[in-house]
Amino acid sequence: MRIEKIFSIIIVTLLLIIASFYVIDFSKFIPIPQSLGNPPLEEKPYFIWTYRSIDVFIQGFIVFASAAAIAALFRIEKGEGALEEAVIEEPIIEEKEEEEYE
Amino acid sequence: MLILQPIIVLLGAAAIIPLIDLLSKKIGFEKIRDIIAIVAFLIAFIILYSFFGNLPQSFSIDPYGPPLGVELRVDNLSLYMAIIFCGLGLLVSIYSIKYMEIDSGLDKYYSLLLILVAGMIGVAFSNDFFNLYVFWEMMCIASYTLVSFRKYKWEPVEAGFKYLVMSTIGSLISLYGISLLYGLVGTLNFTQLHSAIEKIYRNGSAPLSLLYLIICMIIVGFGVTAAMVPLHTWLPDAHPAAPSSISAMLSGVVIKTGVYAMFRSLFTIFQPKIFDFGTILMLFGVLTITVANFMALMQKDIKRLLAYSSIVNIGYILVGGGIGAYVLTHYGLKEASIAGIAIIGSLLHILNHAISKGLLFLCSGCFTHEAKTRAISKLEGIGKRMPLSGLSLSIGLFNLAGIPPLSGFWSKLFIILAGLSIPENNFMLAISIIVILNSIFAASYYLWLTQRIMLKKPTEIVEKVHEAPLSMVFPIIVLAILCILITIKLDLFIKIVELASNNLLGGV
Repeated sequence: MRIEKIFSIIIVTLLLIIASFYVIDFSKFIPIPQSLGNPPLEEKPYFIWTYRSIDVFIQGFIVFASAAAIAALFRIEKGEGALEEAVIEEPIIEEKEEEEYE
Repeated sequence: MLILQPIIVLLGAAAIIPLIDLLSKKIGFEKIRDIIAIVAFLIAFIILYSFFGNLPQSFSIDPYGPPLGVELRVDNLSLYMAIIFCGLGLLVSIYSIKYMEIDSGLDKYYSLLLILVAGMIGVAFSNDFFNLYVFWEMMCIASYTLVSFRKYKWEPVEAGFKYLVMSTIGSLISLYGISLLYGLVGTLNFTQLHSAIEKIYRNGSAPLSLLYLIICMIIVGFGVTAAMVPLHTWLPDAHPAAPSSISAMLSGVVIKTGVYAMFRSLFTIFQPKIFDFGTILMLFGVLTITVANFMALMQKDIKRLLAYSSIVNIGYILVGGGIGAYVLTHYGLKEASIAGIAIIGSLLHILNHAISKGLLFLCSGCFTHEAKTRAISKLEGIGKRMPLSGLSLSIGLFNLAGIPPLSGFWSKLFIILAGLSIPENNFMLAISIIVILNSIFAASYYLWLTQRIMLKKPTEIVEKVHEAPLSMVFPIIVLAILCILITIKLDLFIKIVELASNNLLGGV
């Protein structure tokens, strides 16, 4: 199984786990209460999973995107692919002369 | 309302598509991945549309919120940008059904396209610099690969690698600026940075040179993605080398994300009434317009010409934003209406350029799909053989040329009018005159291209071509209609843009 498919399975599983928590109670996404202060970090060593959970979630997708990117660049082509003739600029005159000299 | 919903829908679809692809091959219905991508874009678009009239909204996923927690915020500006991103993504995914049919690895293509748009929407919704950076990186990784997607040719690989190197350096410069900002203030939340930077400036607790260094790092860092001259050299290689659907995304919206990140961070954190970043933006803007205009004129490749034209239009957007900031710095609130006109012009130009350039790249994709060449000399007269694509291309070119009454004319007019509103200011006057001269110059090559595509005798290659398939023509017709619709309903669009500009000028 290709790498992006493995990551895809992991990501989808994680999404389903997250969804199982949040689908039931959307109020988990609450407006910011202004009255609360900041929690002391030393008492909340796990804050990266809780207070920056969106960042962690997106970083998971960055890994997935990287896996998909690598898989896309190393895929095997079946046909000749798209034909789009690019315009190749002519080499400048000095270079031509140099080539002729050589 | 869940702010995260459109992002989750897009990312969820991106994760599911590779799995569905496994099943679809077994049941023999591979187009299902295309359908999932289109449906995901459509759902995200509808969710975004539903935010209208209920703004601004701030949300956090944890009970404490900023500065430790992530804050997502949707206001009129971020929603305006997100709708442009998602709308173009939807049309591009429809276009890709037939256009990308010849390529393999389409599950990865659609996944990356969805991730690209999700990243851009995330950038627009972030109210926290670190969060913005994370979404930014997600967008960048997807776009590097999409540029080199046709990796069996040397051109996309070279262009993608150049884009990767330059964009990474840009991202690192902006990250360095962000880290300096964090070192100064101890928070990365935009709302808190807004007041903290003002306090630092009043107290004089940090050297002014350091604050200007941070401003320059943000401009340069995000300016690489925005393709601001002299940081633009990746774009004329990347946009033509990418598949045309991706060129439309890159030129239409990805470079606008750079402008958005730059404007949002500068206007919100470094208030224009205190910091004179408007001068920097105006200077970079006119340099960008002038250099790119001269380069565009020399191009023989239709996609390369359009790529340089994108750089030109980024210049207009920067000049508009620059005039707005400059007026606030030097004349304060008494001339706020002039600043407002400049920003409205700039933001309206973002919309005009996204639609027109999306349209032009998709049209060029139709031409290259049929004629198999990008050379303008070989595409002469193709508009006669492909009337729908040719006519749509002409509308897009007229719009970008600023031919009245098309909306492209109005956005440029707002920027120029704002620049000429204070005639005693020689600097603004000079900038405006350069912009006017460049606009006339740019209009000449847009009309020259229209004439070659539409009026010239069809070449030998062109004689054999036919109109592109319906699924490719449909998105370009929608975009061409949008160009005209914005012109007809200009008052409505100006109202929307005005609300967005208020968010930019009013800070947070």
